Amino acid sequence: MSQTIRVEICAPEKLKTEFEAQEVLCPGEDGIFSVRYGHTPLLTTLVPGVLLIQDKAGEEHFFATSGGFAEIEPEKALILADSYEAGTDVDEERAKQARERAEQRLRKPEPETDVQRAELALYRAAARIKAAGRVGY
Amino acid sequence: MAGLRDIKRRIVSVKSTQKITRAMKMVAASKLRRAQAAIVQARPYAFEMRQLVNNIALRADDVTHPLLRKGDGGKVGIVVVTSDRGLCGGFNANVVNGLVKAINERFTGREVEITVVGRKGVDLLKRRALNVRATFVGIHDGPVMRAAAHIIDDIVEDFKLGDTDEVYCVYNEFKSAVQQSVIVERLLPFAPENDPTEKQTGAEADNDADAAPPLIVDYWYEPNQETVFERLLVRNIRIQMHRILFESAASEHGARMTAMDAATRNAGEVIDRLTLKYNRARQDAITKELIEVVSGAEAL
Repeated sequence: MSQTIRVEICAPEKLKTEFEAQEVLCPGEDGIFSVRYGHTPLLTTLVPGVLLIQDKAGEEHFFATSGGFAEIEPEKALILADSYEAGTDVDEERAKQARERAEQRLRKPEPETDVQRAELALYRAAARIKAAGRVGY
Repeated sequence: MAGLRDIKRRIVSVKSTQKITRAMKMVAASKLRRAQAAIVQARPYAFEMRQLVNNIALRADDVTHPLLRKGDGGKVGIVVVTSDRGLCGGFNANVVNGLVKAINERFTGREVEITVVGRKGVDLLKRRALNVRATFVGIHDGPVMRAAAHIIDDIVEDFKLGDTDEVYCVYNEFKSAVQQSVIVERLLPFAPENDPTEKQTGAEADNDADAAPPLIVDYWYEPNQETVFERLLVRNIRIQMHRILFESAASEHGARMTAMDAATRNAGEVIDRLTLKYNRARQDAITKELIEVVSGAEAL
């Protein structure tokens, strides 16, 4: 059995969540990447997406994050999310509504529509739906 | 007679004051509970982020980001965080005293520019000959995160332009419901405040022992160093300001609760004293009347 990596997830106005993990799957700016024990030090920005953690017992935990930072060190991964939500806590109905709204706004953008904001909202909603459905990527 | 009715009236008035202070204490206690939960939740993220920024400031010493620039003793920017409401004991006066002390002792002779948060701070600092740059009131009326960004963004801009060389914040740190302490914290530039890298020359050779991180390897940055730094540093300063606003809010409610508790107790003492006086006065009146009746009867 390989060694485990310590994962800490933080977000403003939320208490820390911690794991001893075999593997972490992060939605990085340049694509999804996987982290295991002994990873090279890495500092990256995150995009809205699903954070998938496989814990010591091999159980999978899904989190929807809305972007942030990840500091990876050989023995520790620190996820500083702008916000995060466990897949099991996601209100799927609301997430779907949010996706619907964002899609509509993007389909026929009005002059005052903030396209960037709508896109981000869409990504966030998609991440929450995925996390709820236990889909990692 | 000192007027039975006068004493009665005073008792009633003190009682109603007591009712108000007791209600305020209760309101402060319930607000404190919420503010305390908020600060406890806001701290880990802010703390980890500051750690991270300190880390990269130490590791990547060749970085030239405008927010990591070391100042050379120019203008100091200070953010003073006070409350919008009064009746919270020494809460606001303490911050102002802390500010004055910092200006006189720590920043002697340096040009100082102040940003005031909170109505009470605005009032208290109005009469002092200070260079006030901007004031913010009612920050807890809307989203605090936005307010924090609003307060700090211009200050960061000034720092980037080299207008200010250091930025500090004076505020009440929340220790417990009954204890707050005024803190002068450095916001910019981002470097550990008791900077171990001050001893720059020949540092590698003589202190292997306290070179704390076992491997000082610079990170691999994704997408690239500039982007990560820019986002992280800007985010960090907003988060720290956000945390400070929460610290101050929790402290304010704590201070008000303590102050109102003391006021309620004092009112109780005043009522006791007045009641005693009232009873004595009444007894005197009765005695006097009796004497009059008795002596009147004897005269017959």
